[in-house]
Amino acid sequence: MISISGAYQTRFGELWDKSLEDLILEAAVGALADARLNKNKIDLVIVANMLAEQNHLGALASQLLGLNSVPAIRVEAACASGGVALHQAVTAIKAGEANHVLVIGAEKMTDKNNGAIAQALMGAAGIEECQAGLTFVGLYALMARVYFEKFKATKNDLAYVAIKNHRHASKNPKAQYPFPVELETVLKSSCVASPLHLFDCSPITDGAAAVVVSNEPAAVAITASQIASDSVSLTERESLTELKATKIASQKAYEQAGIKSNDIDLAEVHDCFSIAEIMAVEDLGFCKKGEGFKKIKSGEFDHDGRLPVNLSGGLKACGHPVGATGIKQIVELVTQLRGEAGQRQIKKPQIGLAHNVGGSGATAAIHILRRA
Amino acid sequence: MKSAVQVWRRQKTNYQNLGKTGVVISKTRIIEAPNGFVGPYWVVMVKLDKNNRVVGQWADEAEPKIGMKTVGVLRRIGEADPTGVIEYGVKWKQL
Repeated sequence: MISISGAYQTRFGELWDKSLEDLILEAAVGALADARLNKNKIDLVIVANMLAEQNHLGALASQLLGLNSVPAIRVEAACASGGVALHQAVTAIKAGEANHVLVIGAEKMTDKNNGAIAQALMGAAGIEECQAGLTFVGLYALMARVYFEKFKATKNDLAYVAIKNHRHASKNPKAQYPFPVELETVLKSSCVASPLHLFDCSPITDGAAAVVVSNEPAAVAITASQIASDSVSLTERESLTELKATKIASQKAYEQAGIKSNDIDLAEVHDCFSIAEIMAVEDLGFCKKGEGFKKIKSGEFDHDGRLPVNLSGGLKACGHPVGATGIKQIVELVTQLRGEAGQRQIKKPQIGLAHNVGGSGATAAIHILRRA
Repeated sequence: MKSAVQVWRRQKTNYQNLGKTGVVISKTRIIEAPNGFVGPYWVVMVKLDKNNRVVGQWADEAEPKIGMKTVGVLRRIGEADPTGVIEYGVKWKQL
């Protein structure tokens, strides 16, 4: 059995006094302590990160922890770096190359200004998209506009994603924005790339999260780990109103876990922008195509709804330190499945799903966890 | 930062949609621009007559509308960067 034996998340936010090294170390030590595992038992270290100017992060993490000779690598798949890193850990264990893998996702974003971050994130996009002066908000804005036309949704429909995720984050002390927001605040926020406004966008965040993946039983088992890819350029996609990589990775994951989408008790989905969560709940099979915005508005994915989505606050309100996000999603699921989520705990969940996307949909990583 | 060689190499592909026509299928007004660009400006996704899609900046006074017929025209791409290299490519305007 492959399990998550330890999990830890740092606070997310504008952490001016913390360096990337500080964040990596805090998350790693936290996950090891949670696993009650001697660090010398770790036989592989994987660091998920997208934007660091400091390279060689695998060896650096190993050095910070005083793990001298273990294999240590960095994994980069844009905002899906965390999910892909976890998939690599599972693959290494299945191959018999490791028994305890430490996976750390970390990102330090506030050292760069907004224009530099926008430019750096576009490193995950196609060259012609960069030449068009697009940003990641812009790419999702292009998808949102097509979605609006096709399914008769409006800008106001998007607002309920932020309202739900902020409400969830208000019960998460590690969230960047642990407070609820009103409809009027969301609607009146400034435009970033039309039709997407500030509250449609995940923020710039510092933070880290880490898990220990073990080849032995623990409280939470990994029952599926799948990744899929699609074209980096949005223009090359089959459809502009769905992410094919999400559909394929999730279908394979449901098959691997031997479950259907309606067996899921809670999910952390990749809401980098409001439209992304709407497409995600559809592509994951939680509702029909074109109905995601209605179901979010009606409360189906709320804390007390049929299938709670983004109880951590999601990328929108918990924060989105890009390399850390995929691991933070796992930490949230583990916390819920163990019944340790305090104020935001839902009643005895058995199965959780994490959905982590890179770029405008070129990579999707899906993990399904089950209470053992 | 752009390198002169990179811009020179891209010339082979930068003009391939010059004079081509298509229809605007999506649009966004970029307010928060990345480094190398000065916002706000419109970016459109165009479905070309041969059915493939492209993205590019809108280079017309009139606001782009979904369904509008458009043609690719030669324009400067982004700002001249500190090396002084100016890149040219295709933007889109109403046909």
